[in-house]
Amino acid sequence: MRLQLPIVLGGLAVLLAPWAAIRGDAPPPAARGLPPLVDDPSLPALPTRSPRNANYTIQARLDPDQHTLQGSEVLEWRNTSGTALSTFPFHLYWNAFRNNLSTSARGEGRRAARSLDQKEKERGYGYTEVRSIRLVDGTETDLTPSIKYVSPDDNNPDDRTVMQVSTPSPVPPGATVRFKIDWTSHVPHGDVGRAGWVHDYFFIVQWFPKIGVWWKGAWNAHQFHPWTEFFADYGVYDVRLTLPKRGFVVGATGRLQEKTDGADGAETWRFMQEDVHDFAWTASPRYREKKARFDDPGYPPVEIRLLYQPEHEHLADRYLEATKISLRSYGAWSAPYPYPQITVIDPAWSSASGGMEYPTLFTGGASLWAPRALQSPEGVTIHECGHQFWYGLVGNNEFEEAWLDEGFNSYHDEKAAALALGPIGWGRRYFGLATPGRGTRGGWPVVAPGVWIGRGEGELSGLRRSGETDVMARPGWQYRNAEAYGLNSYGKPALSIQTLENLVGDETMTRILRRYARRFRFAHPTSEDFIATVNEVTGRDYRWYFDQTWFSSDRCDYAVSVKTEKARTLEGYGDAGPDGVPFLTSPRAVPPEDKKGGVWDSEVTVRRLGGVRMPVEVMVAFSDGRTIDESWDGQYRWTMFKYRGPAKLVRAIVDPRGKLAIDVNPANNDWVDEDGWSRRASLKWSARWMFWLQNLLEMHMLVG
Amino acid sequence: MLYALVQGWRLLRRSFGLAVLLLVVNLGLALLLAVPLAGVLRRDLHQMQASQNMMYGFDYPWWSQWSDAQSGWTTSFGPEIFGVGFVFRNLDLLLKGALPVNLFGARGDAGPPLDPVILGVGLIYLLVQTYLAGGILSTLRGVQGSWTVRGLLHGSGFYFGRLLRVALVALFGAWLVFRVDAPLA
Repeated sequence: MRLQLPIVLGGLAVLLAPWAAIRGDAPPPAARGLPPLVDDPSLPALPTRSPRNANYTIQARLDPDQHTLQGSEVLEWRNTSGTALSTFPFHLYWNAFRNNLSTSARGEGRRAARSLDQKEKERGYGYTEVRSIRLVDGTETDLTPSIKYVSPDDNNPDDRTVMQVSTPSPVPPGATVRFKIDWTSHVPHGDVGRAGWVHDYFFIVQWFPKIGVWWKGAWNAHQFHPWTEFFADYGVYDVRLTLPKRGFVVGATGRLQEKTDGADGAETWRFMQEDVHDFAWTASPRYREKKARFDDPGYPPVEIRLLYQPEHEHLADRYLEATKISLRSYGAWSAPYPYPQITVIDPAWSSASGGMEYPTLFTGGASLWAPRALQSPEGVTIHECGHQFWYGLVGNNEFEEAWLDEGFNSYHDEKAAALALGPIGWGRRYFGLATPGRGTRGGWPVVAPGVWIGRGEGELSGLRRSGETDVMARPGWQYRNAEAYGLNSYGKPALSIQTLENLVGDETMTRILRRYARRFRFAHPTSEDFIATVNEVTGRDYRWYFDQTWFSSDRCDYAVSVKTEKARTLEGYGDAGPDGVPFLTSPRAVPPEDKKGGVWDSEVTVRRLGGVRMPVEVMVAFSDGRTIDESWDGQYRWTMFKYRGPAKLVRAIVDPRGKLAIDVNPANNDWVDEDGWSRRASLKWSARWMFWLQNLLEMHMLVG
Repeated sequence: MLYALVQGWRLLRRSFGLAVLLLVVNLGLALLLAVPLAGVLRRDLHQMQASQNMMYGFDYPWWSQWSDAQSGWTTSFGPEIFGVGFVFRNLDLLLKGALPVNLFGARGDAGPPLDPVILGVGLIYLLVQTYLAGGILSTLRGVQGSWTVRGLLHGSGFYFGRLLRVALVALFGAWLVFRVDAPLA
């Protein structure tokens, strides 16, 4: 009886100890703030307008009940190829959803063909059917009979995502021609691709027949693959969208010019935008609207229009603030956003349209419960808005070099978020319904206390897992799988640019990106253009760096190990005596006063575990407080540094400043002379884990 | 209600050692895996700066690479069990049908959400508790002033068959519920 109270209290203490330890976790590091916009007169001047060689005037009517769209467009196209052309490819992206034999449906992931019941089949497919295409030049020449479908990437005869037509006579260089195209589309359901409908939410993107790009002496019009994105020429878009008058709120690329009521109970929204390479729009009667203005000093003012779901009212200000972070930081690090408006879309629940970018319009994505530590919707908003600066304004070929957009953007969004918001928390969502698509209400979020993910740290797992699957610089559809595409388009290029930033310095890296963004605005640059810019700004040849990272699938992994021990004293035969015979010495007893001091021999071995060769710094520290900085060219598999002195070596770090963000295992870079830390840390964390397991065991009793 | 609670507490005080025994069973089974985990963690952290970071906080880069290198039951060590997360995770597993032995969970290519070793320990715990339940009930309803191991084992053995059938009926009932609707599974 007397023992009961101590046992109860002791048991409670054991049970609550891990819980109490949680309270002691460190708070997140504070955000440091974004850099100001710096005026640099040495930078190239920005072009005032794009080449405008692919200009579209489009009229479209949506039937929201039948999920069909009737469209008519006039494409005014100028031949900038320098050669006479008589064949013209057009993208018909929605034919990726036409059947289960398209190249997209044959792949893996969300767009892959699925076994569906009859109802699902009806809504799961979609298409674009060109009814007619005519060359308009005073008279109209019907090109419809010349339509054929081509599959330049895989010769798939069932893929109709690229249509080709021929003109009776070649279009000479510099000439402008007009194509008039009429088409019908069936809108796919919105959990298949980015485009589609969910309930009364319509997200209409990659939706009109779109001409390819004459690039590097040939037509560049790739098929729609399971995970690739897009490439198009710049132009002026004048688009009229007609919908039934049912309270639809419409958001689109560009500025709203007018909204008119039709006699048939419909209303027409007219949008215009110059110097963009695509046009996207969305409509839903559920949208709520909120506006804000970005007018930081030195930047052109931008009206931000947010269309959000009613249940995300509490997230509206976070969307808007994140958009401003993006406009501010990317503007400072590349070139300011030139358009007077940007539209932010909060996608509907269970739609797959979240997290996607289009000129002057992008989608975010948020869960109903959104703790700030998880930086959602901030992270996706900064990222998708950031696309405006690379995909939108520079316009690289996303089919062939996706990293020039996604990778640069990931590098920048992580940098911006780290500076403006601090590190991201680690969280999981529980009790979520198995709904497909992004932007879903994915369960109740739980943020792990004291676990913070620093800039770039979240990308390393993918690099470890599949970094050697593919060389990074590879056309998007030729990666082995979706994971390799994701890693080589987002994570690896972001980490490689972060590493380059650490090697050349933050200021130099910003100068590189600002020069690149200005010189190649509206210009479809390539990786070689970027590398040339790096070399130009730094005044050094960094080709070796890109060979090691972008044009390689090798890992970067440096590790350090240490051997430190008391210096040996002579034992065995020593010097010869007067008789010319070496005499045998015995080990000398170490005097007690020398046991703590004495002479120490230390060896630091730095190993290169991966194929990537980088110069690295090494820092060693001794027990007397002395530190020594070393450097190694990193070429051979290993190197060794030896020290003899009065102090024991207590720490050795390879890459002490953490420059190699691309190092897949930073933990093995830092050796310390310890014994107690690992023991105490392992006890602490295994006790927490045991607490979880004990609870799990008790959970069994609820069912059994 | 209050009367029942008071009565229950009195019974518990009378057989306090029984409560300690149940805690020891729970703790002992958990220790079966917690001790090896401590060894695994210590070996990996040895002479790494991450050991100091992990002593005073959580080193995400270290854990990330450590976790990637693990297979089997040790992969269950991660930030999701910190804070209130451990309760949420376990309830989520329960609602997904992963407990016990992933009997009611989805059978996908990814396998069960928990490693078979942990599921196996859970099954052992379930059986041990089912066995002890008979002894506990007979002890608590007895008129003696205190419990004995002999009495506990006698009651456990005597009622085990019946309570096992009750447990199977409960599991069948849970299976029916998951068959009808399991939105999280």
